[in-house]
Amino acid sequence: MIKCIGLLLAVSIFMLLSSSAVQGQDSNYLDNCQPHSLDPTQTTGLSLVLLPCPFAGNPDDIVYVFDSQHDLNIGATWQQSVNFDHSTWVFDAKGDQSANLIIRFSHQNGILSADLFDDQNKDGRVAYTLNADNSDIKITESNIPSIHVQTPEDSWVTNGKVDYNLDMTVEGPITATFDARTFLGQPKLLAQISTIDNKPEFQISVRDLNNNGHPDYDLRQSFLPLPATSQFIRTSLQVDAADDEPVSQALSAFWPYLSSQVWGFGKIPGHTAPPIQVDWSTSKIINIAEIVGSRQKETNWFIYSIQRFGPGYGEYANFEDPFMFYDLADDHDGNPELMIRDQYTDLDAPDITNLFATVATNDIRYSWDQDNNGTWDYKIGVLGRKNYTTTVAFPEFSVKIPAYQDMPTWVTKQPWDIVSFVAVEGAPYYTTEGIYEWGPGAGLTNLLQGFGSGNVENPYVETSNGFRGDYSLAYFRVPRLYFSDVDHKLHLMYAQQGNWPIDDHTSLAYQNLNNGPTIDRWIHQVDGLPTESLTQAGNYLIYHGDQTIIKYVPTLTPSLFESPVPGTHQEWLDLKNKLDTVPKPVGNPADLRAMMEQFAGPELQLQNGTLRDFRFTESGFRFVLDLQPDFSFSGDNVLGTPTLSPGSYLVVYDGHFDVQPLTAPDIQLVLPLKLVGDSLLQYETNILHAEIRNDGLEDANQVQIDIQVSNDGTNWTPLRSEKGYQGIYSVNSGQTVDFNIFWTPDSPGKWQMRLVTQTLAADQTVLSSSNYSQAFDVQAASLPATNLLVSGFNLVPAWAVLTLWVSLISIFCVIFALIYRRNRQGEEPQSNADES
Amino acid sequence: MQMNPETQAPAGQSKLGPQTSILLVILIISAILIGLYWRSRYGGDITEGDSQRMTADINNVYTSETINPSNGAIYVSGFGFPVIMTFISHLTNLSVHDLQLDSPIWFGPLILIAFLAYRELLRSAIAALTACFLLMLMPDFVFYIMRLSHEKATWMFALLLVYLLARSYRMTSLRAVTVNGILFYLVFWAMASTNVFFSSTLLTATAFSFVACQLLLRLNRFIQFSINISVITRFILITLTGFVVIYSVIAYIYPPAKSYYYYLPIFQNRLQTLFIGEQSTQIISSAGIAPALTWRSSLTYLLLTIPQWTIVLISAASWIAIAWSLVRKKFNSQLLLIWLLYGAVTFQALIAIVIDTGGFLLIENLTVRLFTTLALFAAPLASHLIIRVLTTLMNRERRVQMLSVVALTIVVAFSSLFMLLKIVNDPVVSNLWIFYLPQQVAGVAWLEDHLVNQQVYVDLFPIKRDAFLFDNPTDNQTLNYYFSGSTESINRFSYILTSQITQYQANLTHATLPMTVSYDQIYDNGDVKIYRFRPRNPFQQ
Repeated sequence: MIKCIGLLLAVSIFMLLSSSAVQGQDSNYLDNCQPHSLDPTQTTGLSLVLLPCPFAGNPDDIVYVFDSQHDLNIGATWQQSVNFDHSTWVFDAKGDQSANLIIRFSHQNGILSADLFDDQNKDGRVAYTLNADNSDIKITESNIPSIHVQTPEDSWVTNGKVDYNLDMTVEGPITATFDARTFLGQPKLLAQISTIDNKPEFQISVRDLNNNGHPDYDLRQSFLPLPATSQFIRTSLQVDAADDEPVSQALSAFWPYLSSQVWGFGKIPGHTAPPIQVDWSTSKIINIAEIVGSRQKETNWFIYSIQRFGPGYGEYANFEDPFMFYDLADDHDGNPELMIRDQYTDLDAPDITNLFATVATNDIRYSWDQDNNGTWDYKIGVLGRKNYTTTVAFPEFSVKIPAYQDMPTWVTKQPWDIVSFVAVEGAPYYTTEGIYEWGPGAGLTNLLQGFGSGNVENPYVETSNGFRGDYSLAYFRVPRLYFSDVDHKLHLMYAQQGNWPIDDHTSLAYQNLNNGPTIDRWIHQVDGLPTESLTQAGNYLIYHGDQTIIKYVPTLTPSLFESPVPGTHQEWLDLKNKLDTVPKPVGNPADLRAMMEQFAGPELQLQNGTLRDFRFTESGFRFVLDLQPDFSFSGDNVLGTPTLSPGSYLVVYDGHFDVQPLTAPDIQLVLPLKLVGDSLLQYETNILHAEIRNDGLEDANQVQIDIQVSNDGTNWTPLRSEKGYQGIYSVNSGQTVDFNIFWTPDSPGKWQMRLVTQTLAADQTVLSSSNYSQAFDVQAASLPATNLLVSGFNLVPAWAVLTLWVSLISIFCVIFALIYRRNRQGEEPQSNADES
Repeated sequence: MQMNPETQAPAGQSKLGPQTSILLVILIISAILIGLYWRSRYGGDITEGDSQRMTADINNVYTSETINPSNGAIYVSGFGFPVIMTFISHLTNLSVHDLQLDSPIWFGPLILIAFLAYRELLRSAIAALTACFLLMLMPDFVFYIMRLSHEKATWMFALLLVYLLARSYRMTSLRAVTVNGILFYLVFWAMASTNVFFSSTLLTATAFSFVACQLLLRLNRFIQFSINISVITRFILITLTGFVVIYSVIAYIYPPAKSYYYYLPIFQNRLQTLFIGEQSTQIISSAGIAPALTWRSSLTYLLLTIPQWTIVLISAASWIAIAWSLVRKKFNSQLLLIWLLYGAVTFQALIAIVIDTGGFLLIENLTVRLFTTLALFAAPLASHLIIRVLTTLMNRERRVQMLSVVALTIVVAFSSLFMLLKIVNDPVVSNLWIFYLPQQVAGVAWLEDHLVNQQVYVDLFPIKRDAFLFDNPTDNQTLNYYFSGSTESINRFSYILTSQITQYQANLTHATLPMTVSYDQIYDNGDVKIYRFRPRNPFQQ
């Protein structure tokens, strides 16, 4: 839960940060900057000033450039006059003679570097002193830069292409990773990292492997001083698989990596700018934005890992590992039609949120845009226990994940343990991270890990308005889809159940009563209460609402077509084509009567009667008809029965219908109860095995078992069975149900157990009741013999221990006697004098 | 107040008399024998949580060759004891594990230092010997010296400090005072390095002593109290300098000790809750649960600890008697230091009781936290009174004397028996057993060899896990998660490790072990069985 909230918070921040618009600004807004020498008598040499340069949006913004080699050659434009490899730049927003940022460029030993200094003591400026001849400055704010950037290239820009082989070390509260902003809001952490101490908080490595001016990947390490158990993103990796990562110099403040505006952390295609952003009003560097974008580009992928990976840290990642976007429509429009996110736990790198992990787990969100309109249409959510076995290699490190191009089919062509399917039925839906609806909770992760008895909270009980979903908590097969012949909707094959809240009051529930490949019952609910249902049983449709209709439809099929979950462009296209040709759903999706009436066939209509307790049997299905005194049949005699009198009837179909009068549930408890184990023992949790059977024709949906024990006939202690105290069991006609009773007797001897079975109606009234009793003999708990205790369970001989005790006690007595005797003799002489 | 002339130490030579020396040697040998008894009671198969953790901490210092290893087990409250043990291990070529097991014999040297300290405090060798004897009869003191933790070193340093402090008041030459002072702060540095918590406890006692002196001076109209101002000055000087030493250790020498700061707000919260009645803070007290569960019955616990509580009561009576002598203006100023320090540690103990809030059951918590400090000062004060009583008895007729000696010998015999039973949590009287069978360790080792990250029920008390880690100190943590305690939960654990001993323990404590009938037995080494949860769904295959 906390993780989910954290994630949503983080995503919100990302959206917020990304949405802080990259303000439209002319890319040549600095063209009017004119170089002037600080010494008006010279045109070459030491230093210059650039005026007017609105790098911070103010007409009075000034930049001072100091040349360490004193070889400035002031030309007509600033570009002709400056260098970025042996100069120091002082950025003075508003020209108020206080520095807001200082960058020192140098080129030594083949490494081109830039050191960025911002305000450290919160006085709103970067302190420095100017030497006597205005030739250079000394930065007094700090000895250590907030950001150090270096590259092995000779120039930051070569032939108009910006260099993206960068290594950065970052100190201080700068948002340099996705979740850094969240943690930087903690005052304690902020106090810890606000001092420049030569211990970087972040390291960034960006690589452009073919030097084409488009960065290929952006690897970031976060070293925020958070506890080892903290769930922060230690390593993030963004990759552009198409090698066309968009870059922009629109907001560049002279140096291609310095932005003139604060525009956010998350990079959005079409809205990008240089990454390093300074709040000119406080003289603080705020963000180092993504250099390779994480989201929203159809050829990008990324990893946010809690486990650290990368050069020197191994290849095991976890958490959002990976997060990938695809051009499933193959239209190269920049917008992804497929998004895959695996919240992955690797056993070799256990997620600290899942310390008890015994298997690798996957929680995959697979969202796609089927009609290619830029919004998400469907999602399958799969949970499984699959370990990554392949590794993706980069020049300096590797990471254990499926290859980018293999990931879609890695998801769609493998069997999965738990699968859900979500369709967007309401307003167009778009997020940068796919469809969030029906994310699984911690309970299902525990289930995957095999913990407990398997009774977990089901997160798929209900979707939100506007979403329709099917799911199975025990899927164990390759996910496939089908198009229902009945409701004309795309569904998950072999779903156990599903639902669709159509509006605040109306919803549809789906059931798969025979555990077959398709949904076979639709239930229309108003405010949570069923008002009508439609059941598909072979070629029969059974409608139960204001009247009961049994219809035979010879042409009825389980599905109009089946489809794999699209993992390739061709599969996506095939599904698209099929969806374009199938019939449209009936007008009102909750109108089950209309859904049935779209089919032609003979039907039997029942007035003043009810149909209940429908269930499938091994060879067909059965249900109960309750016929009221004024009941009537109309239409075709689909059941093929002679005239019936009012009353209740069991109707069984196994190729043909058989109707017989109903008999009430007859619950029998089988005695004696069987003890599991050899004997009933005091203080131990003993198990008694019990069986109940139903000899009546009617199913007993609620049989309550009340168990009590007493060893004095007066005080009765309730016992629990597998379904708790007064557990409720369902016992179908002719069926035997077994269960266990747990009992921890606190004393030995004769005990009496009494059991009461009560058959309950839907409204909890007692239909029938039976009492049973059985006597038990509880054996006393065994206690260790004294010699066993003395010998420490034979670790040492008992005689040795006794000898030790006697000897030591004797020594104590002797000592006491000696002290007593000594005391009688008085104090022996000793020093009482002051020492000197 | 005047001491009995017979027991009052006269001026004379500084050497002990031959009989006193022999008695002292016998006491030291007895203390070593108690250590050997602890070591051999279960054939060396003895440990508990703190002992195991400290052994792992020492081993980590030994292998990583630094006082502050970046990875693995670390004792956050001080590096002194791991360093000492590492040094001895290198010196003797004995393994850390064996050295730890042999460490209870440190009790012998501790008694020697206790004798020196008490002789300085009481100015009487016979009273000091008696105090050492009483100290050896207090199981809740002896246990903490016996077990394999830092406390044997910590309290040795504390006694040395008391010795040096008491000695300093008899010094007149500047050179002697200077040398003594340097030694004092060196020893305090050693104690602070060993445990910052107990060091600060001792400093708080000196601070209280300073306050008490100030109060007494203000009451001088009503009592006979005169004091050299240097005594008061020394108290405050020691307190202030000592806290600077502690701060240096925490801030500059040993950063893990910063966890000390973590506890300060907790103490503050508890006091706030107590005095202001803030409802939001929960008072956490483990007190009381332990005696009922640990011992065969509450009566057993009371019986085993009656001797030590009696000594504490006698010391309290002695303290009151000295206080009364103040009012009667017969105060013996030689007893000032022990009287002040005892008062201070008792005050600390009372605060602890108040903080932990009411009832008999608090005694366990007091025992754990501050009883050791209290015992250190209760023994000499009780000794002071007992010597007076014995002296009085000696003046009575011979028959009374004989009867008294017989009665007291019986008391001593039972007290020593109770001490011997309690310090090893003897299974004859205890339910929380600190011994283990090699087969139990073999069972845990098998789990560690074959499983990872599994939830394993292992025992009523976590002795099996502790024993495994104690015997394998290089594994500072287990691969699986081990749970213990009484539980009626069904199918909660993936694995259950159980043995007949555990079943006996459960029966003795009326505890319920998790049932194994729905599990498959997968291991049996004769004493220990391991069960695996029978899969109920496909995810558990």
